[in-house]
Amino acid sequence: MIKIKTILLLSAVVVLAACDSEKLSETSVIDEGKKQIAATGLDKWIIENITVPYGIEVVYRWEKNAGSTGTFIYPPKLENVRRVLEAVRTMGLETYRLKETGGEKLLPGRLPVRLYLYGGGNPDTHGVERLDNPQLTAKEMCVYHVDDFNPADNDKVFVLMRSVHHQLARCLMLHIAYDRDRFSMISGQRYTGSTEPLAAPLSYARTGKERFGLDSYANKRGLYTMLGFLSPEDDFAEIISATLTSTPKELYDAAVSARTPDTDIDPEVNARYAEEAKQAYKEFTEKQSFVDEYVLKNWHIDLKQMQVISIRRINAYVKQHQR
Amino acid sequence: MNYRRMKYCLFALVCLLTACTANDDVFDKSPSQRNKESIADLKKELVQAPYGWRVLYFPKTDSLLFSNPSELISQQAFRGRYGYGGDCYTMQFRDDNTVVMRADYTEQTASQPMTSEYVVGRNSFTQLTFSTYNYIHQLVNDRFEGSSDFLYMGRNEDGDLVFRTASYLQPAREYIVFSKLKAPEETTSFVQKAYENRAFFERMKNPQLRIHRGGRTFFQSDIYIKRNVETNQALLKEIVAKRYYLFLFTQKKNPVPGYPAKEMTGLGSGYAGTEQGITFRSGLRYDSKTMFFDFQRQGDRFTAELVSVYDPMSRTTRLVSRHLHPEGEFTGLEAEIWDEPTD
Repeated sequence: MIKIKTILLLSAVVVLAACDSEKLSETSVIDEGKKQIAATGLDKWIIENITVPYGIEVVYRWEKNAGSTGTFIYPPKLENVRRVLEAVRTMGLETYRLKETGGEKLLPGRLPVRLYLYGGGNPDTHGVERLDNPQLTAKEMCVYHVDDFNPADNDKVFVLMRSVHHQLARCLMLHIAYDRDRFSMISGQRYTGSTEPLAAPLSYARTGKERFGLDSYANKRGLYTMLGFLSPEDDFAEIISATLTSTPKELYDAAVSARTPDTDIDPEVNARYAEEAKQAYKEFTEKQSFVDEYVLKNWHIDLKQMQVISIRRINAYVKQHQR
Repeated sequence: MNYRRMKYCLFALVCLLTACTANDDVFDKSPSQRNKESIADLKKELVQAPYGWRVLYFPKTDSLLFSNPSELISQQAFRGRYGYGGDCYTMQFRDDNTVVMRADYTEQTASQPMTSEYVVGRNSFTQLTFSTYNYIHQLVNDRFEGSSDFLYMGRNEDGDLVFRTASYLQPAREYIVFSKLKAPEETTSFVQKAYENRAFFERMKNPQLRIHRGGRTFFQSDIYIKRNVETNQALLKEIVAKRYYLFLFTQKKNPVPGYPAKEMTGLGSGYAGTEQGITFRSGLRYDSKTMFFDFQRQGDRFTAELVSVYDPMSRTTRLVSRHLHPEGEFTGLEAEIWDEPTD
């Protein structure tokens, strides 16, 4: 009996000690593919100028898992990657870091952790192009049409900066809270949640400014831009992005457009139009004040002042490249 | 604990100790080793082609579209409903993960090489990814629905590398085949010839198709599709943009002279230029056996003669074009495409 107990005990020790020498491979199977490509001069520039100072990883090589099924996005041409990143840094990130705007402390820890670059656009199933990729996580951003980017072309720079400011605003909104319910109530009935109703009015747009700029169709419904229709969060980010990429005069004209009713020969219809314009203007200005107040109190930035700075920087950037 | 129970425990322990011998491994290597090897093998295969590869890529084929020569096609049933063709490339893969590519899109893309990066990785399949921009990305759009990632499926009967993408679950919805180039001049000349042959086919004003065995004609198209009139411009654009051609036959004539046929039948397929002529995918399919894929350019005509080739690996016989397999057994089945003069 004692013998058997001893044997059992010994065997148990052997069983427990059996997996002692097992070792995992030092090479990760997942990393195997990535390790094949050595860092290029562009990679080093990105690390020194974007990743280290701002904490953003730039992905310009194709990564299948970063794109959703059914989209036809592809990697950008290499010659434009640095040009686009310089523009993002100069007119986007640096504008927030100025003393007169957010200063050094606003951005760290609140920026996207990854920036994807794509050569072409990414129209959705309704043919509508967005400024961001809704499939990405909240801490990721993307830039489309890198191949077409031309720093001397006003329209291309406008579209790029609309996208960058939209996504930066979304990231900051995520970290610095605002009263979402109160904001959502202002134009609650306007939000579509889908791009389908936007496809027809946007189909007439030819330039980037027509597609993504301040739009009278949206203004007359209390919004700044067409993409503001998608959700309260999009609307909020669009107000900031459109403000930072439009002149004060353009913004004033948008407000005028919001309060100007359409006309009709039928007085009853006219009265309805007047009522709608009144409501649209009320929503337009209420949201404008809401965002201005939020940015001032929480980001400690005067949005009107930052608008002027941003526009000047954009104009200076384009002029510098037109020479 | 009684003595008998102790014995059972001891027996169980002995079983436990002998359970995990090395003989239990189904594979002789670990999954990570096998993954690593499959990546290394494909990369080695791609790189060890000093003159590169001739790549045919048809991203969106449809073997059921216009593949029944008995099916009636109405006047409005084909306009705007053409399928998609493909393109011919040459690619030279280097060990430093760069690939030099030429494409048959234009004369310029055929002569100017473009270098980009590629990665061989593995998910469910060993995968070749074109990770930075090159000519092939011009097919990644909402019309051709191309992909940047090719999944390696193995070799075909001719030893070529066969790939697919994750875009389709159904078989035969795309055609990606890498054929090894054998001489240095092929790297530059193949894609240029492919461009010239495709351009020659597209310049034909009234291409017609005849499938026959000796004097017995199985199918002969006769409808002048590429009529250069204002109302037909959309179709002319569609043919070139999609690289698809439909050969139509008048089944029932229109009693009004000069008017389009009342009833038509036809055979259609996407096409791409090759160094020898033109290739159709998913083929001009007369029936389940008689399918013409590869045509050879002979002067002003494209011809294909089917020969029977036995594959000892799969123990099957297949019909292929004679110019690709001169050793094949004679069948007498021929197809030709020529430019029929118009009035």
